[in-house]
Amino acid sequence: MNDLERDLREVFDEDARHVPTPTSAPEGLRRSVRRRQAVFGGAVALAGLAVVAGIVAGASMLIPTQGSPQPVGQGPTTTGSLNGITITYPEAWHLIDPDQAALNGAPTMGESPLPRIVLALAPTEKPETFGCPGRAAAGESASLLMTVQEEPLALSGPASTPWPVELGPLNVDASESACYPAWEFMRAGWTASGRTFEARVGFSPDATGEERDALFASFASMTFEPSGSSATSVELARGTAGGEEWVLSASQTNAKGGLSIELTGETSGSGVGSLSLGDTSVPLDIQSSSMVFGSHSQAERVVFGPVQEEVVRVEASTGGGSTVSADVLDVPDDLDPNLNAFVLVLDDPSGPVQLKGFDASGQVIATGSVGHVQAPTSSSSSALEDGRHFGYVRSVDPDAGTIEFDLAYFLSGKEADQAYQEATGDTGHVPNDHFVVNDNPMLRTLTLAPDARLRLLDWNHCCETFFDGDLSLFAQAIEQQTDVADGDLIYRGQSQWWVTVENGVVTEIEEQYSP
Amino acid sequence: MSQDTGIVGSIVEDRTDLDDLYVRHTPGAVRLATLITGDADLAQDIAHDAFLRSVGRFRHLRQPEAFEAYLRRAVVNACTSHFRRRKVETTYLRRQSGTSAAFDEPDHGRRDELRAALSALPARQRAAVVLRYYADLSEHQAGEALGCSEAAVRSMVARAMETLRERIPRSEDT
Repeated sequence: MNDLERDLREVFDEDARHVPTPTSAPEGLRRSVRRRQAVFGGAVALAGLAVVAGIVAGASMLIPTQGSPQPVGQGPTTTGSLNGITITYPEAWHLIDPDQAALNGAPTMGESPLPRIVLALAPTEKPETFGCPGRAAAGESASLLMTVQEEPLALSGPASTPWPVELGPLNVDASESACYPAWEFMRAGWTASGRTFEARVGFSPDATGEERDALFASFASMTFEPSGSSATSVELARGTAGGEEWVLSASQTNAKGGLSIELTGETSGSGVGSLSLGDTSVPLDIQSSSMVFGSHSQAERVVFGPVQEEVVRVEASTGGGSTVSADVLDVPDDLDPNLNAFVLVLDDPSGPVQLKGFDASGQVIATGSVGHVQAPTSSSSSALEDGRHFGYVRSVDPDAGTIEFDLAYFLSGKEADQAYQEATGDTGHVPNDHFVVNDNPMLRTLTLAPDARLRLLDWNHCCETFFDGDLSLFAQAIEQQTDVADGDLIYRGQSQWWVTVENGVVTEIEEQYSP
Repeated sequence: MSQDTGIVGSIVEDRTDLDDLYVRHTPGAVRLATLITGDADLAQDIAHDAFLRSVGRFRHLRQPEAFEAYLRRAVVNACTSHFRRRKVETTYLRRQSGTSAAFDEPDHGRRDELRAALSALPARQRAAVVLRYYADLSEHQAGEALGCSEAAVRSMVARAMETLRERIPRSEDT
């Protein structure tokens, strides 16, 4: 041990001795623990209905009670409209508007992407009957729940399926759940009137056939209006690059703010750039993303991203000397009052690009850059060299034995610090000692080896223990972008992955821990 | 920690056992949080919340014996997240230059320099140093608490020690 280490130990010991510590447990500890257990039970053991537990419990506390519990069946119905959704449902059920209940953005809802529109249907109104029906008194628990939440606009994939759709099974093992014991879950995703929604439904074992039928009828009765003031996603522009059509859309990243700009191609998948000004007033650099369309001489690059509202025009200069500029696209204030967006099509698909943002007086008030992007070729764009590659699994097709993989770069040490500082303007070390760079959102379709191994992190033994996962459950988690529980094992829908490619096929997918 | 298993293996029914678990584990959590954050009041809140969080999740863990490590990890996460989210490093520095609920000892020269230098470290580096030299954790255990690899712990501690040596020129390692 050297002097510094010894001094550190002495300082720590000395300071620790003077720290006031609790000598007894506070009042209400058991109640607090129970509440946490109930919340966590809903959030993890039943990822499928976590949204229901939190939102409905909160709404029930915030909204005046609406009458005594009544038996539910195919009795009288009523019709209500909330945020552009009209639904007919049994009179004894309750329709809750999360905006009125001030739930959107509430601290209790965390920072994950949040539903902006929720219809919570259930026959009783006591908070515990929604938040944790398994703990409610006999006869007072909700026997079914349904939420409908608005998602970022889906231009491709299952969520773009036009309404009407049918509810399908949601594979959640609730056999050991305290809050939703032996409940059955269903979900559906669809797009209607230029908006994308997801519904989640839970049935307790006590739900009667009448109740189930009533809920299915309520679900099927829904009609949808186009986005109004409550819009959470809008189309900003359309164009063509490399012979392929693209659409640029904007959406809120979560209810606390932040803007996500998404570029979607007909066949090239999609890329996302996002930015949140938060509470800072410091001017930001231009945070851009780019995506290459076409191949060889026809390849073109689309550069896009959010910019501060003071920027009225963005100019891109390529290494080859060409310059392209365009006025920024207006993002509705209800999506984000402080940010707009830009999109530029460049004929240079791979070289570095310098970006300048001009204000109304023609002054440069923001700058940015786009790194080197590897232009795809028609023959190799969907392949990866043998080796271990980091990135994001965007979809899984167990039947075809393929995955769609978004290659990225996992940096650590000085590389991570440098990339983090360039991206954020911060001068400190990158949080958590790593930084992910994902400049090129091109999706690659990779073939899985018949015996491909799926190694998922066992969060019970975090963070170096893995379990061999089931491909169909993994596919479900990825498709739904949410956690799927298999007993106490968790399949994360949003995570980071290492794929091992040998002889051109994927032999292993391993989850990367991220705090 | 096997005695913890019966307490939190399922919904906590016995208030006495739960209180006992609280009294056994939260003082250490408060000390750890105080040394990382430098704020004894904040540390009390962090430790209490981490305890609730850990007990709340405990029934889902296959190894309840890991409660202490899980609580430690929750404390470290809460401390570093606090600094990352709220950017209170500057507040912390200002607090250190004035009165402190935790470190209100009279001036001891080099030790106070060391405290000041520690307070200026990035939160995770400071946490890594506290875990290694206060909690006496191995690099592997510290990595579990910080949610990173052993190599990352080595790197953080090395960078922290390098910074401390630069800021305390009188340090003469033996």
